[in-house]
Amino acid sequence: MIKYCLTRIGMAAATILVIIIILFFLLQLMPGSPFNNERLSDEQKLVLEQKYGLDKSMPEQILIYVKNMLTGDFGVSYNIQPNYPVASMLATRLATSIRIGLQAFVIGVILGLILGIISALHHNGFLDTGTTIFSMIGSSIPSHVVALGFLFFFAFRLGWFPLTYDSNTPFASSILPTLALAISPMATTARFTRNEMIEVMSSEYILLAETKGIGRLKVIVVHGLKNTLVPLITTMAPLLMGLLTGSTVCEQIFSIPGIGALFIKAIQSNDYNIVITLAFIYSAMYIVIVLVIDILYGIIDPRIRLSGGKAGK
Amino acid sequence: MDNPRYALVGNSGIYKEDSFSSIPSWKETLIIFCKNKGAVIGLLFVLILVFFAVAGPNMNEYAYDYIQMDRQNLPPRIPGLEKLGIFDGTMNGIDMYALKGCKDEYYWFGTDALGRDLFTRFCQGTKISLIVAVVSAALNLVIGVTYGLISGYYGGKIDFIMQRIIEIINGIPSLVVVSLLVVVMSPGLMSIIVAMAISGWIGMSRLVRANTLRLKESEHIMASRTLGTKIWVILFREIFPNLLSSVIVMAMMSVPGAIFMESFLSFVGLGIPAPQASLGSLISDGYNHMLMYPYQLAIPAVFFGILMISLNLVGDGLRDALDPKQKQA
Repeated sequence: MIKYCLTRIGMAAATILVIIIILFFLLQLMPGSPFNNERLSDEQKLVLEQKYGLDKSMPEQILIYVKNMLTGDFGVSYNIQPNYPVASMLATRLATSIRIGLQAFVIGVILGLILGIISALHHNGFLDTGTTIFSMIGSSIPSHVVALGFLFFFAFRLGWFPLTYDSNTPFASSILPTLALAISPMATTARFTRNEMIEVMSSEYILLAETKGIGRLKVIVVHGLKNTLVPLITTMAPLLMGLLTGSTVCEQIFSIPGIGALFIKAIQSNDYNIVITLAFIYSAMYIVIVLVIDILYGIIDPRIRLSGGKAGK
Repeated sequence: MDNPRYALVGNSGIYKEDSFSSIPSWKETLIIFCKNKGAVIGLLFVLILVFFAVAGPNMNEYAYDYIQMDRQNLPPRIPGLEKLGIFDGTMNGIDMYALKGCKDEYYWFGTDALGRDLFTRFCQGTKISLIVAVVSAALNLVIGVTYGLISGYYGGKIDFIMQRIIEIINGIPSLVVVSLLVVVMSPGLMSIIVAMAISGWIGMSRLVRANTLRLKESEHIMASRTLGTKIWVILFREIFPNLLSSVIVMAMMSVPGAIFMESFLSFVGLGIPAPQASLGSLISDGYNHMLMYPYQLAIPAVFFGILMISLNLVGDGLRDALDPKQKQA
């Protein structure tokens, strides 16, 4: 198990390094430079590029960047907030984004589980049909359309929530974005839980447990739910990734000062250091999520380890 | 067998010819698909939207990029329905058409801030979105199938290297790859399609590789290898047909994802450039005027939602009919 974890962690580190190289390469190809102010003369641009080390060759730049990164220095912003360190620019934004993302994820998964269980226990009943239709709709409609709908009805028409994010009331103004983002994980979880649960509940060990006279609640929770949760873990990584994309747009819609909106702005204004740092953070988050889930899966289900860690692929 | 205690049971009920075909015939597939009500309704909606995407831009005299500064922000007005009190061109009780002096004109979905006919723009946008989705799904199919076949069939070192490459590409979130690539190639229809093709084929190649690994040990492949059949013939004529149904399902499932990605890009301003329209850019434009003119957002958003649901329903129906073993994720 330890060897398996170490191999996976080694692979993850290598992947991140390769990603940084690819990112530098892509940025070289990007049109324009960070200093596209028309008042700057060519000499001034050259001086600026020298100052930030942009005149060096790509391998050198990468080496310097990785070296600085390991000490927690992600460079400075070029034109969004000139000369301001990227790390401190991101700190508060990252916290906001992660908080809203996690809120949405936790609420979505818990509600989805409950819906899925109810639906499976009333298999083919009225509640089941309702839940199935809801999860079909919920997993199809992109979160930004949901967010726009919520914004229009609950914030604008009914006026229950603020129209834009206000950092003085972080809780009240994060309710709508959280709910909008939670719909998709909720629908997916509900759908998955329902299908797994129906399969589990019709298996022989559940029948055995029921014949032994174990209470219904205990059968559902201990015997049914526990075995449903194992395959559910594999769906978590794509769900979290979906939240990442969804949150970028939701942040724009609700004007939340998060990393998603900043990423797009940085791409459009060639602010290289922010782009690289955020792309790096996104990739690292993704790799860590997949890693944790694979290892978790290996711990829960030892058969996966034996077949070489190809969980859920 | 004259003993009255025994009677010949016969096998006519069990061994029907068609009940043992391993690959479902097209007819069978069609029957299973048609039994799925959701999928049929979904298909119907998709076909209707495809019809509007093809015929819609020419259904009235306005072009999608025809700007009329004296016809700004007119609410929807549809002949026939206006008598029912909906889509009658009034806003807050005021007849905007009378106000602008164009009582005899009809803009079915209204006009936008530049006076462009939103119905034509909607049809044009649906067309662009569908083109993006179908072309990128087709590209994913070609790249993913080829990569998966080669990686799975050769195995060993080649497979190892190819799988590490996949792991690295897969490590970069598609949000990052697609948005960077679109900027590098400058926003436009082609660059969106290419960017999605580059990042979207991983799932397909994994599916194909896993099946190829299993199939290459089977006897008919061994036989043609022994006979010295060319590698491309083995890959595409002997392995690929066995995967066809799962590949079709996978490709169909990737269509809504592509439409979503396009609308996402349009929304953040990296999508189809200005005079052109896509469902994403229409929603994005509508969002900017949401508080004043809600219809500009509501109409494309509702149809976008219907399109996504329909495509997913069709994908699910196809999966159940073609490839029941493929697990729902």
